[in-house]
Amino acid sequence: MINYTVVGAFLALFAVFTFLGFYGSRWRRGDMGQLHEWALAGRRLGATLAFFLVGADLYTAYTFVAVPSGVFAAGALYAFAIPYVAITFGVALAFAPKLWKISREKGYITGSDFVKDRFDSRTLSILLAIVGIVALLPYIALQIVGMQTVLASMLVGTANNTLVEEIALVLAFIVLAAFTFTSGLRGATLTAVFKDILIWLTVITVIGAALYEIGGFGHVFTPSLSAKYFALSSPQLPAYMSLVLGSALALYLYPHAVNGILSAESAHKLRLSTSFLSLYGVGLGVLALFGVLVYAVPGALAMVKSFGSGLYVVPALILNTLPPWLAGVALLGVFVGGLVPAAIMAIAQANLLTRNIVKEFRPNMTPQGETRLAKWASAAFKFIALGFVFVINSTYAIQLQLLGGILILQLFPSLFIGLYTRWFKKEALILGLLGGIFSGVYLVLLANHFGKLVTSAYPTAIGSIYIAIISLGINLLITIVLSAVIPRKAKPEEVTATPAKVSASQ
Amino acid sequence: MKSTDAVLVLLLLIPALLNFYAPYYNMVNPTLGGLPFFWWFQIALLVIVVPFYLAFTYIQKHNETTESQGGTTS
Repeated sequence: MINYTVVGAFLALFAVFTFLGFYGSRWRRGDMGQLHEWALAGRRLGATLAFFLVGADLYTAYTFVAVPSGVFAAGALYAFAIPYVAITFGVALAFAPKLWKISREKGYITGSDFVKDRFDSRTLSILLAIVGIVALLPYIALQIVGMQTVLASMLVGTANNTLVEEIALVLAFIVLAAFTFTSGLRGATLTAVFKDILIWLTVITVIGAALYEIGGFGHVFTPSLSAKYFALSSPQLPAYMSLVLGSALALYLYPHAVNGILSAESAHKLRLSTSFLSLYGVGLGVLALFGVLVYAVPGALAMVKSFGSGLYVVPALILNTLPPWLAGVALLGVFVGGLVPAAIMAIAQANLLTRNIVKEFRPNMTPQGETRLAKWASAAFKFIALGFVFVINSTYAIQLQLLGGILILQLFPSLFIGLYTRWFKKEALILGLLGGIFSGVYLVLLANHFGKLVTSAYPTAIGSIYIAIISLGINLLITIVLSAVIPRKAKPEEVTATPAKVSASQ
Repeated sequence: MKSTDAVLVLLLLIPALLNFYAPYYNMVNPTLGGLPFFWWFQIALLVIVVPFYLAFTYIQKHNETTESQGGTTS
Protein backbone atom coordinates (compact mmCIF):
# COMPACT_ATOMS: atom_id res chain seq x y z
CA MET A 1 0.00 0.00 0.00
CA ILE A 2 1.04 3.55 -0.60
CA ASN A 3 2.62 5.17 2.46
CA TYR A 4 1.45 8.76 2.78
CA THR A 5 4.17 9.80 5.21
CA VAL A 6 6.82 8.72 2.69
CA VAL A 7 5.08 10.51 -0.18
CA GLY A 8 4.37 13.58 1.97
CA ALA A 9 8.02 13.99 2.99
CA PHE A 10 9.09 13.41 -0.61
CA LEU A 11 6.71 16.05 -1.99
CA ALA A 12 7.52 18.63 0.70
CA LEU A 13 11.22 18.43 -0.06
CA PHE A 14 10.55 18.38 -3.76
CA ALA A 15 8.82 21.75 -3.33
CA VAL A 16 12.00 23.11 -1.68
CA PHE A 17 14.05 21.67 -4.52
CA THR A 18 11.84 23.26 -7.19
CA PHE A 19 12.10 26.61 -5.43
CA LEU A 20 15.90 26.35 -5.47
CA GLY A 21 15.86 25.50 -9.17
CA PHE A 22 13.83 28.57 -10.05
CA TYR A 23 15.70 30.76 -7.60
CA GLY A 24 18.93 29.48 -9.16
CA SER A 25 18.09 31.09 -12.46
CA ARG A 26 18.15 34.47 -10.68
CA TRP A 27 21.10 33.71 -8.43
CA ARG A 28 24.28 35.76 -9.12
CA ARG A 29 22.21 37.26 -11.81
CA GLY A 30 23.29 37.11 -15.40
CA ASP A 31 21.41 37.58 -18.63
CA MET A 32 19.75 34.20 -19.15
CA GLY A 33 19.21 35.12 -22.79
CA GLN A 34 22.96 34.57 -23.27
CA LEU A 35 23.96 31.00 -24.03
CA HIS A 36 27.07 30.97 -21.87
CA GLU A 37 25.03 32.27 -18.94
CA TRP A 38 22.46 29.50 -19.29
CA ALA A 39 25.04 26.85 -20.09
CA LEU A 40 28.22 27.80 -18.19
CA ALA A 41 26.84 29.82 -15.28
CA GLY A 42 28.93 32.74 -16.52
CA ARG A 43 32.12 30.80 -15.54
CA ARG A 44 32.22 32.05 -12.00
CA LEU A 45 32.15 28.89 -9.94
CA GLY A 46 34.75 28.69 -7.16
CA ALA A 47 36.36 25.51 -5.81
CA THR A 48 33.38 24.58 -3.65
CA LEU A 49 30.72 24.98 -6.30
CA ALA A 50 32.85 23.41 -9.01
CA PHE A 51 33.24 20.51 -6.60
CA PHE A 52 29.49 20.15 -6.31
CA LEU A 53 28.91 20.57 -10.01
CA VAL A 54 31.35 17.83 -10.95
CA GLY A 55 30.35 15.84 -7.87
CA ALA A 56 26.78 16.01 -9.11
CA ASP A 57 28.07 14.02 -11.97
CA LEU A 58 29.38 11.31 -9.75
CA TYR A 59 26.23 10.74 -7.78
CA THR A 60 23.81 9.97 -10.51
CA ALA A 61 21.39 7.14 -11.13
CA TYR A 62 24.55 5.28 -12.17
CA THR A 63 25.69 5.21 -8.56
CA PHE A 64 22.31 4.81 -6.89
CA VAL A 65 20.53 2.44 -9.13
CA ALA A 66 22.74 0.95 -11.84
CA VAL A 67 25.85 -0.07 -9.86
CA PRO A 68 23.96 -1.66 -6.91
CA SER A 69 21.76 -3.44 -9.44
CA GLY A 70 24.77 -4.81 -11.30
CA VAL A 71 26.38 -5.97 -8.04
CA PHE A 72 23.10 -7.56 -6.95
CA ALA A 73 22.83 -9.55 -10.18
CA ALA A 74 26.44 -10.29 -11.14
CA GLY A 75 28.48 -9.77 -7.96
CA ALA A 76 31.93 -8.28 -7.44
CA LEU A 77 32.48 -7.53 -11.15
CA TYR A 78 30.46 -4.32 -10.86
CA ALA A 79 32.62 -3.10 -7.99
CA PHE A 80 34.82 -1.82 -10.85
CA ALA A 81 33.04 1.49 -10.31
CA ILE A 82 35.11 2.05 -7.14
CA PRO A 83 38.66 1.99 -8.64
CA TYR A 84 37.27 3.75 -11.70
CA VAL A 85 36.29 6.72 -9.55
CA ALA A 86 39.68 6.72 -7.78
CA ILE A 87 41.56 6.84 -11.09
CA THR A 88 39.34 9.18 -13.05
CA PHE A 89 40.24 12.17 -10.88
CA GLY A 90 43.92 11.55 -11.54
CA VAL A 91 43.11 11.56 -15.25
CA ALA A 92 41.20 14.78 -14.67
CA LEU A 93 44.20 16.40 -12.98
CA ALA A 94 46.32 15.66 -16.04
CA PHE A 95 43.74 16.92 -18.48
CA ALA A 96 41.26 19.40 -17.06
CA PRO A 97 43.47 22.33 -15.92
CA LYS A 98 45.28 22.29 -19.27
CA LEU A 99 42.01 22.42 -21.17
CA TRP A 100 40.74 25.11 -18.79
CA LYS A 101 43.77 27.34 -19.45
CA ILE A 102 43.67 27.06 -23.23
CA SER A 103 39.92 27.61 -23.22
CA ARG A 104 40.14 30.67 -21.00
CA GLU A 105 42.84 32.16 -23.23
CA LYS A 106 41.00 31.56 -26.47
CA GLY A 107 37.37 31.75 -25.35
CA TYR A 108 36.38 28.15 -26.03
CA ILE A 109 33.30 26.84 -24.28
CA THR A 110 33.21 23.28 -25.62
CA GLY A 111 35.66 20.52 -26.52
CA SER A 112 34.66 20.98 -30.16
CA ASP A 113 35.80 24.62 -30.05
CA PHE A 114 39.24 23.47 -28.97
CA VAL A 115 39.56 20.75 -31.59
CA LYS A 116 38.38 23.03 -34.37
CA ASP A 117 41.08 25.53 -33.60
CA ARG A 118 43.90 23.14 -32.78
CA PHE A 119 43.53 20.89 -35.82
CA ASP A 120 42.02 23.52 -38.06
CA SER A 121 39.14 21.22 -38.97
CA ARG A 122 35.44 22.03 -39.03
CA THR A 123 34.63 18.42 -39.92
CA LEU A 124 36.42 17.08 -36.84
CA SER A 125 34.75 19.68 -34.64
CA ILE A 126 31.26 18.88 -35.92
CA LEU A 127 31.95 15.15 -35.60
CA LEU A 128 33.07 15.63 -32.01
CA ALA A 129 29.86 17.51 -31.22
CA ILE A 130 27.71 14.78 -32.77
CA VAL A 131 29.50 12.02 -30.85
CA GLY A 132 29.16 14.04 -27.63
CA ILE A 133 25.43 14.51 -28.12
CA VAL A 134 24.80 10.86 -29.03
CA ALA A 135 26.99 9.45 -26.23
CA LEU A 136 24.96 11.40 -23.68
CA LEU A 137 21.64 9.95 -24.86
CA PRO A 138 21.99 6.55 -23.16
CA TYR A 139 23.51 8.26 -20.10
CA ILE A 140 20.44 10.50 -19.81
CA ALA A 141 18.25 7.44 -20.38
CA LEU A 142 19.90 5.89 -17.33
CA GLN A 143 18.93 8.93 -15.23
CA ILE A 144 15.34 8.64 -16.40
CA VAL A 145 15.38 4.95 -15.39
CA GLY A 146 16.64 5.96 -11.93
CA MET A 147 13.89 8.54 -11.43
CA GLN A 148 11.32 6.07 -12.64
CA THR A 149 12.54 3.46 -10.15
CA VAL A 150 12.09 5.83 -7.20
CA LEU A 151 8.58 6.83 -8.21
CA ALA A 152 7.57 3.24 -8.87
CA SER A 153 8.89 2.13 -5.47
CA MET A 154 6.63 4.70 -3.79
CA LEU A 155 3.58 3.92 -5.89
CA VAL A 156 3.88 0.16 -5.45
CA GLY A 157 0.56 -1.41 -4.49
CA THR A 158 -1.64 1.20 -6.21
CA ALA A 159 -1.86 -0.85 -9.40
CA ASN A 160 -0.01 -3.80 -10.88
CA ASN A 161 3.75 -3.30 -11.13
CA THR A 162 3.83 -2.86 -14.91
CA LEU A 163 1.31 -0.03 -14.84
CA VAL A 164 3.06 1.55 -11.86
CA GLU A 165 6.33 1.57 -13.77
CA GLU A 166 4.72 3.11 -16.86
CA ILE A 167 3.09 5.92 -14.86
CA ALA A 168 6.39 6.50 -13.04
CA LEU A 169 8.25 6.80 -16.34
CA VAL A 170 5.88 9.44 -17.70
CA LEU A 171 6.06 11.47 -14.47
CA ALA A 172 9.86 11.28 -14.36
CA PHE A 173 10.12 12.49 -17.92
CA ILE A 174 7.79 15.48 -17.45
CA VAL A 175 9.63 16.64 -14.32
CA LEU A 176 13.00 16.42 -16.09
CA ALA A 177 11.87 18.34 -19.17
CA ALA A 178 10.28 21.14 -17.14
CA PHE A 179 13.27 21.46 -14.82
CA THR A 180 15.90 21.71 -17.57
CA PHE A 181 13.91 24.18 -19.58
CA THR A 182 13.58 26.69 -16.78
CA SER A 183 16.74 26.58 -14.71
CA GLY A 184 19.97 26.39 -16.74
CA LEU A 185 23.33 25.49 -15.24
CA ARG A 186 23.04 27.93 -12.34
CA GLY A 187 19.83 26.36 -11.16
CA ALA A 188 21.27 22.90 -11.64
CA THR A 189 24.41 23.77 -9.63
CA LEU A 190 22.47 25.24 -6.75
CA THR A 191 20.20 22.21 -6.63
CA ALA A 192 23.30 19.99 -6.88
CA VAL A 193 24.38 21.23 -3.45
CA PHE A 194 20.96 20.41 -2.05
CA LYS A 195 21.00 17.02 -3.75
CA ASP A 196 24.40 16.11 -2.37
CA ILE A 197 23.38 16.92 1.19
CA LEU A 198 20.37 14.62 0.81
CA ILE A 199 22.51 11.95 -0.76
CA TRP A 200 25.05 11.84 2.04
CA LEU A 201 22.23 11.78 4.54
CA THR A 202 20.75 8.84 2.66
CA VAL A 203 23.97 6.87 2.32
CA ILE A 204 24.93 7.27 5.98
CA THR A 205 21.50 6.61 7.48
CA VAL A 206 20.72 3.61 5.29
CA ILE A 207 24.08 1.91 5.83
CA GLY A 208 23.78 2.62 9.57
CA ALA A 209 20.20 1.40 9.85
CA ALA A 210 20.76 -1.66 7.67
CA LEU A 211 23.93 -2.75 9.46
CA TYR A 212 22.23 -2.22 12.82
CA GLU A 213 19.32 -4.39 11.75
CA ILE A 214 21.52 -7.08 10.24
CA GLY A 215 24.22 -6.98 12.91
CA GLY A 216 27.28 -6.14 10.77
CA PHE A 217 28.82 -7.25 7.48
CA GLY A 218 29.75 -10.58 9.06
CA HIS A 219 26.07 -11.50 8.82
CA VAL A 220 25.93 -10.55 5.14
CA PHE A 221 29.10 -12.18 3.85
CA THR A 222 28.28 -15.62 5.24
CA PRO A 223 29.27 -18.99 3.74
CA SER A 224 25.74 -19.33 2.33
CA LEU A 225 26.25 -16.24 0.13
CA SER A 226 27.44 -16.98 -3.41
CA ALA A 227 31.22 -16.71 -3.88
CA LYS A 228 30.76 -14.18 -6.69
CA TYR A 229 30.03 -11.48 -4.09
CA PHE A 230 33.27 -11.92 -2.14
CA ALA A 231 35.85 -11.23 -4.86
CA LEU A 232 36.43 -11.73 -8.59
CA SER A 233 36.99 -15.07 -10.28
CA SER A 234 40.21 -15.12 -12.34
CA PRO A 235 38.41 -15.06 -15.73
CA GLN A 236 36.69 -11.82 -14.66
CA LEU A 237 39.97 -9.93 -14.19
CA PRO A 238 40.46 -8.74 -17.80
CA ALA A 239 36.88 -7.47 -17.95
CA TYR A 240 37.27 -5.80 -14.54
CA MET A 241 40.52 -4.03 -15.36
CA SER A 242 39.39 -2.89 -18.79
CA LEU A 243 36.11 -1.57 -17.34
CA VAL A 244 38.12 0.39 -14.77
CA LEU A 245 40.47 1.83 -17.37
CA GLY A 246 37.85 2.57 -20.04
CA SER A 247 35.49 4.26 -17.61
CA ALA A 248 38.26 6.28 -15.95
CA LEU A 249 39.54 7.63 -19.27
CA ALA A 250 36.04 8.34 -20.56
CA LEU A 251 34.38 10.36 -17.79
CA TYR A 252 36.05 13.70 -18.42
CA LEU A 253 35.53 13.53 -22.17
CA TYR A 254 31.76 13.89 -21.75
CA PRO A 255 30.50 17.30 -22.82
CA HIS A 256 28.88 17.98 -19.45
CA ALA A 257 32.18 17.20 -17.70
CA VAL A 258 33.94 19.66 -20.02
CA ASN A 259 31.24 22.17 -19.06
CA GLY A 260 32.02 21.49 -15.42
CA ILE A 261 35.74 22.04 -16.03
CA LEU A 262 35.23 25.30 -17.88
CA SER A 263 32.84 26.79 -15.35
CA ALA A 264 35.61 26.77 -12.71
CA GLU A 265 37.06 30.09 -11.64
CA SER A 266 40.76 29.18 -11.81
CA ALA A 267 43.02 26.23 -12.68
CA HIS A 268 44.13 25.91 -9.06
CA LYS A 269 40.57 25.82 -7.74
CA LEU A 270 39.74 23.23 -10.35
CA ARG A 271 42.65 21.02 -9.26
CA LEU A 272 41.85 21.47 -5.60
CA SER A 273 38.22 20.42 -5.96
CA THR A 274 39.21 17.51 -8.22
CA SER A 275 41.72 16.25 -5.62
CA PHE A 276 38.98 15.81 -3.05
CA LEU A 277 36.42 14.24 -5.34
CA SER A 278 37.70 10.70 -4.92
CA LEU A 279 36.67 10.95 -1.24
CA TYR A 280 33.22 11.38 -2.61
CA GLY A 281 33.56 7.94 -4.13
CA VAL A 282 33.43 6.37 -0.66
CA GLY A 283 29.66 6.78 -0.77
CA LEU A 284 29.64 5.06 -4.15
CA GLY A 285 31.54 2.14 -2.64
CA VAL A 286 28.97 1.85 0.14
CA LEU A 287 26.11 2.03 -2.35
CA ALA A 288 27.70 -0.73 -4.44
CA LEU A 289 27.70 -2.86 -1.28
CA PHE A 290 23.95 -2.32 -0.96
CA GLY A 291 23.66 -4.80 -3.83
CA VAL A 292 24.98 -7.46 -1.45
CA LEU A 293 23.41 -6.08 1.74
CA VAL A 294 19.92 -6.49 0.33
CA TYR A 295 20.23 -10.27 0.69
CA ALA A 296 20.22 -9.86 4.47
CA VAL A 297 17.08 -7.67 4.61
CA PRO A 298 14.16 -9.98 3.76
CA GLY A 299 11.56 -7.22 3.24
CA ALA A 300 13.79 -5.38 0.79
CA LEU A 301 14.72 -8.56 -1.04
CA ALA A 302 11.03 -9.43 -1.45
CA MET A 303 10.34 -6.01 -3.01
CA VAL A 304 13.28 -6.31 -5.43
CA LYS A 305 12.05 -9.75 -6.47
CA SER A 306 8.46 -8.55 -6.94
CA PHE A 307 9.69 -6.10 -9.60
CA GLY A 308 12.09 -8.69 -10.98
CA SER A 309 14.78 -6.01 -11.29
CA GLY A 310 17.91 -5.24 -9.31
CA LEU A 311 17.27 -1.53 -9.87
CA TYR A 312 15.06 -1.54 -6.78
CA VAL A 313 17.89 -2.50 -4.40
CA VAL A 314 18.49 0.97 -2.95
CA PRO A 315 14.86 2.20 -2.87
CA ALA A 316 13.81 -1.11 -1.27
CA LEU A 317 16.52 -0.85 1.40
CA ILE A 318 15.47 2.74 2.10
CA LEU A 319 11.80 1.81 2.47
CA ASN A 320 12.60 -1.22 4.62
CA THR A 321 15.17 0.19 7.03
CA LEU A 322 14.28 3.86 7.61
CA PRO A 323 11.26 5.42 9.36
CA PRO A 324 8.72 6.61 6.72
CA TRP A 325 9.45 10.36 6.91
CA LEU A 326 13.18 9.76 6.53
CA ALA A 327 12.54 7.27 3.73
CA GLY A 328 10.67 10.01 1.85
CA VAL A 329 13.63 12.37 2.26
CA ALA A 330 16.10 9.70 1.13
CA LEU A 331 14.02 8.73 -1.89
CA LEU A 332 13.92 12.36 -2.96
CA GLY A 333 17.72 12.33 -2.75
CA VAL A 334 17.85 9.41 -5.17
CA PHE A 335 15.23 11.01 -7.41
CA VAL A 336 17.02 14.34 -7.78
CA GLY A 337 20.22 12.29 -8.06
CA GLY A 338 18.91 11.35 -11.49
CA LEU A 339 17.20 14.65 -12.25
CA VAL A 340 20.05 17.09 -11.68
CA PRO A 341 22.70 15.23 -13.72
CA ALA A 342 20.21 14.59 -16.51
CA ALA A 343 19.51 18.33 -16.68
CA ILE A 344 23.24 19.12 -16.69
CA MET A 345 23.81 16.61 -19.50
CA ALA A 346 20.89 17.90 -21.55
CA ILE A 347 22.20 21.47 -21.23
CA ALA A 348 25.61 20.31 -22.46
CA GLN A 349 24.02 18.62 -25.49
CA ALA A 350 22.06 21.72 -26.40
CA ASN A 351 25.17 23.82 -26.05
CA LEU A 352 27.04 21.61 -28.54
CA LEU A 353 24.19 21.55 -31.00
CA THR A 354 23.78 25.31 -31.24
CA ARG A 355 27.39 26.33 -30.95
CA ASN A 356 29.24 23.63 -32.85
CA ILE A 357 26.72 22.33 -35.35
CA VAL A 358 23.94 24.82 -36.18
CA LYS A 359 26.16 27.90 -35.96
CA GLU A 360 28.63 26.38 -38.41
CA PHE A 361 25.90 26.55 -41.03
CA ARG A 362 23.98 29.61 -39.82
CA PRO A 363 26.64 31.94 -38.40
CA ASN A 364 24.31 34.93 -38.18
CA MET A 365 22.06 33.65 -35.42
CA THR A 366 21.25 36.16 -32.67
CA PRO A 367 22.22 35.26 -29.09
CA GLN A 368 18.52 35.13 -28.19
CA GLY A 369 17.79 32.81 -31.09
CA GLU A 370 20.69 30.63 -30.04
CA THR A 371 19.43 30.27 -26.49
CA ARG A 372 15.87 29.58 -27.66
CA LEU A 373 17.14 26.84 -29.96
CA ALA A 374 19.30 25.37 -27.18
CA LYS A 375 16.38 25.13 -24.79
CA TRP A 376 14.04 23.48 -27.28
CA ALA A 377 16.74 21.13 -28.55
CA SER A 378 17.45 19.92 -25.02
CA ALA A 379 13.77 19.00 -24.68
CA ALA A 380 13.86 17.12 -27.98
CA PHE A 381 17.01 15.19 -27.03
CA LYS A 382 15.32 13.93 -23.90
CA PHE A 383 12.62 12.32 -26.02
CA ILE A 384 15.27 10.50 -28.02
CA ALA A 385 16.96 9.43 -24.78
CA LEU A 386 13.66 7.95 -23.69
CA GLY A 387 13.93 5.49 -26.57
CA PHE A 388 17.06 3.98 -25.01
CA VAL A 389 15.07 3.06 -21.89
CA PHE A 390 13.41 0.33 -23.93
CA VAL A 391 16.50 -1.33 -25.41
CA ILE A 392 17.91 -2.65 -22.15
CA ASN A 393 17.18 -5.33 -19.63
CA SER A 394 16.46 -3.10 -16.63
CA THR A 395 18.69 -4.97 -14.15
CA TYR A 396 21.61 -4.18 -16.45
CA ALA A 397 20.76 -0.49 -16.85
CA ILE A 398 24.46 0.13 -16.18
CA GLN A 399 25.00 -0.91 -19.81
CA LEU A 400 23.49 2.43 -20.84
CA GLN A 401 26.37 4.26 -19.19
CA LEU A 402 28.90 1.78 -20.54
CA LEU A 403 27.51 2.24 -24.06
CA GLY A 404 27.93 6.00 -23.70
CA GLY A 405 31.48 5.31 -22.53
CA ILE A 406 32.33 3.31 -25.65
CA LEU A 407 31.29 6.24 -27.85
CA ILE A 408 32.76 9.09 -25.83
CA LEU A 409 36.13 7.39 -25.31
CA GLN A 410 36.73 7.69 -29.05
CA LEU A 411 37.31 11.43 -28.48
CA PHE A 412 40.40 10.61 -26.42
CA PRO A 413 43.00 11.07 -29.22
CA SER A 414 41.74 14.48 -30.38
CA LEU A 415 40.56 15.99 -27.12
CA PHE A 416 43.01 14.59 -24.58
CA ILE A 417 46.19 13.67 -26.47
CA GLY A 418 45.57 16.72 -28.67
CA LEU A 419 46.20 18.93 -25.64
CA TYR A 420 49.76 17.61 -25.50
CA THR A 421 50.76 17.23 -29.14
CA ARG A 422 50.03 18.62 -32.60
CA TRP A 423 51.57 15.63 -34.29
CA PHE A 424 48.22 14.03 -35.27
CA LYS A 425 46.85 14.98 -38.69
CA LYS A 426 43.21 16.01 -38.86
CA GLU A 427 42.38 13.45 -41.55
CA ALA A 428 43.90 10.73 -39.38
CA LEU A 429 41.90 11.83 -36.34
CA ILE A 430 38.66 11.88 -38.31
CA LEU A 431 39.17 8.40 -39.74
CA GLY A 432 40.38 7.06 -36.37
CA LEU A 433 37.29 8.47 -34.65
CA LEU A 434 35.00 6.92 -37.24
CA GLY A 435 36.85 3.60 -37.01
CA GLY A 436 36.49 3.64 -33.22
CA ILE A 437 32.78 4.49 -33.30
CA PHE A 438 31.82 1.95 -35.95
CA SER A 439 33.89 -0.89 -34.48
CA GLY A 440 32.45 -0.08 -31.04
CA VAL A 441 28.84 -0.15 -32.17
CA TYR A 442 29.41 -3.28 -34.24
CA LEU A 443 31.08 -5.15 -31.36
CA VAL A 444 28.26 -4.14 -28.98
CA LEU A 445 25.72 -5.58 -31.41
CA LEU A 446 27.78 -8.75 -31.86
CA ALA A 447 28.35 -9.26 -28.13
CA ASN A 448 24.61 -8.93 -27.46
CA HIS A 449 23.63 -11.05 -30.47
CA PHE A 450 21.73 -8.07 -31.89
CA GLY A 451 19.27 -8.27 -28.99
CA LYS A 452 18.70 -6.33 -25.75
CA LEU A 453 21.78 -4.80 -24.20
CA VAL A 454 23.15 -7.01 -21.41
CA THR A 455 26.93 -6.73 -21.84
CA SER A 456 29.56 -4.19 -22.95
CA ALA A 457 32.43 -6.63 -22.99
CA TYR A 458 33.63 -8.67 -25.95
CA PRO A 459 35.23 -12.10 -25.59
CA THR A 460 38.84 -12.07 -26.85
CA ALA A 461 41.79 -14.44 -26.66
CA ILE A 462 42.90 -12.93 -23.34
CA GLY A 463 39.40 -12.87 -21.81
CA SER A 464 36.42 -10.51 -22.00
CA ILE A 465 37.44 -6.91 -22.61
CA TYR A 466 35.34 -3.74 -22.32
CA ILE A 467 34.60 -2.77 -25.92
CA ALA A 468 35.54 0.88 -25.28
CA ILE A 469 39.16 -0.21 -24.86
CA ILE A 470 39.18 -2.41 -27.98
CA SER A 471 37.72 0.39 -30.09
CA LEU A 472 40.09 2.96 -28.64
CA GLY A 473 42.92 0.65 -29.71
CA ILE A 474 41.56 0.52 -33.26
CA ASN A 475 41.03 4.28 -33.21
CA LEU A 476 44.60 5.00 -32.01
CA LEU A 477 46.09 2.57 -34.49
CA ILE A 478 44.34 4.26 -37.43
CA THR A 479 45.20 7.72 -36.11
CA ILE A 480 48.88 6.99 -35.55
CA VAL A 481 49.49 5.07 -38.78
CA LEU A 482 47.72 7.66 -40.93
CA SER A 483 49.42 10.57 -39.14
CA ALA A 484 52.77 8.98 -39.94
CA VAL A 485 51.84 8.34 -43.59
CA ILE A 486 50.03 11.54 -44.57
CA PRO A 487 52.59 14.16 -45.63
CA ARG A 488 52.59 17.34 -43.59
CA LYS A 489 51.38 20.37 -45.49
CA ALA A 490 54.12 22.92 -45.22
CA LYS A 491 53.01 25.89 -43.18
CA PRO A 492 55.96 28.27 -43.05
CA GLU A 493 55.18 29.77 -39.64
CA GLU A 494 54.85 26.31 -38.09
CA VAL A 495 58.18 25.09 -39.41
CA THR A 496 60.16 27.95 -37.98
CA ALA A 497 58.26 29.00 -34.85
CA THR A 498 58.38 27.19 -31.52
CA PRO A 499 55.11 25.58 -30.41
CA ALA A 500 54.51 28.29 -27.81
CA LYS A 501 54.76 31.01 -30.43
CA VAL A 502 52.49 29.16 -32.80
CA SER A 503 49.73 28.99 -30.21
CA ALA A 504 50.20 32.67 -29.40
CA SER A 505 49.94 33.68 -33.04
CA GLN A 506 46.64 31.89 -33.66
CA MET B 1 62.01 16.98 -18.63
CA LYS B 2 62.45 18.70 -15.27
CA SER B 3 62.68 16.60 -12.12
CA THR B 4 59.43 18.10 -10.81
CA ASP B 5 57.74 16.88 -13.99
CA ALA B 6 58.80 13.32 -13.18
CA VAL B 7 57.43 13.73 -9.66
CA LEU B 8 54.15 15.05 -11.05
CA VAL B 9 53.82 12.07 -13.39
CA LEU B 10 54.50 9.65 -10.53
CA LEU B 11 51.95 11.37 -8.30
CA LEU B 12 49.27 10.45 -10.84
CA LEU B 13 50.71 7.15 -12.05
CA ILE B 14 51.14 5.48 -8.65
CA PRO B 15 47.48 5.91 -7.56
CA ALA B 16 46.37 4.80 -11.03
CA LEU B 17 48.37 1.56 -10.87
CA LEU B 18 47.33 0.85 -7.27
CA ASN B 19 43.72 0.92 -8.38
CA PHE B 20 44.06 -0.57 -11.84
CA TYR B 21 46.08 -3.71 -11.10
CA ALA B 22 43.24 -5.72 -9.56
CA PRO B 23 44.99 -9.13 -9.24
CA TYR B 24 46.92 -8.04 -6.14
CA TYR B 25 43.84 -7.02 -4.14
CA ASN B 26 41.48 -9.67 -5.47
CA MET B 27 41.20 -11.74 -2.28
CA VAL B 28 38.76 -12.32 0.56
CA ASN B 29 41.14 -12.28 3.55
CA PRO B 30 41.96 -10.40 5.72
CA THR B 31 38.40 -9.24 6.30
CA LEU B 32 37.56 -6.00 8.12
CA GLY B 33 34.46 -6.12 10.29
CA GLY B 34 33.21 -8.99 8.17
CA LEU B 35 33.87 -7.17 4.89
CA PRO B 36 36.10 -9.04 2.39
CA PHE B 37 39.50 -7.47 1.61
CA PHE B 38 38.48 -6.92 -2.03
CA TRP B 39 35.75 -4.54 -0.88
CA TRP B 40 37.28 -2.65 2.02
CA PHE B 41 40.67 -2.21 0.37
CA GLN B 42 39.18 -0.60 -2.74
CA ILE B 43 37.13 1.76 -0.60
CA ALA B 44 40.28 2.56 1.44
CA LEU B 45 42.13 3.34 -1.81
CA LEU B 46 39.68 6.18 -2.46
CA VAL B 47 41.07 7.86 0.65
CA ILE B 48 44.69 6.83 0.03
CA VAL B 49 44.82 8.58 -3.37
CA VAL B 50 43.84 11.99 -1.95
CA PRO B 51 47.30 12.95 -0.56
CA PHE B 52 48.84 12.09 -3.96
CA TYR B 53 46.36 14.32 -5.77
CA LEU B 54 46.75 17.14 -3.25
CA ALA B 55 50.54 17.00 -3.57
CA PHE B 56 50.15 17.21 -7.36
CA THR B 57 47.84 20.21 -6.98
CA TYR B 58 50.18 22.19 -4.72
CA ILE B 59 53.35 21.41 -6.70
CA GLN B 60 51.55 22.65 -9.81
CA LYS B 61 50.47 25.80 -8.00
CA HIS B 62 54.03 26.41 -6.88
CA ASN B 63 55.32 25.85 -10.45
CA GLU B 64 52.79 28.26 -11.87
CA THR B 65 53.61 31.08 -9.46
CA THR B 66 57.36 30.75 -10.11
CA GLU B 67 56.69 30.51 -13.87
CA SER B 68 54.62 33.67 -13.92
CA GLN B 69 57.26 35.52 -11.89
CA GLY B 70 59.92 34.33 -14.35
CA GLY B 71 57.65 35.32 -17.23
CA THR B 72 57.44 38.97 -16.17
CA THR B 73 61.21 39.41 -16.12
CA SER B 74 61.93 37.74 -19.48
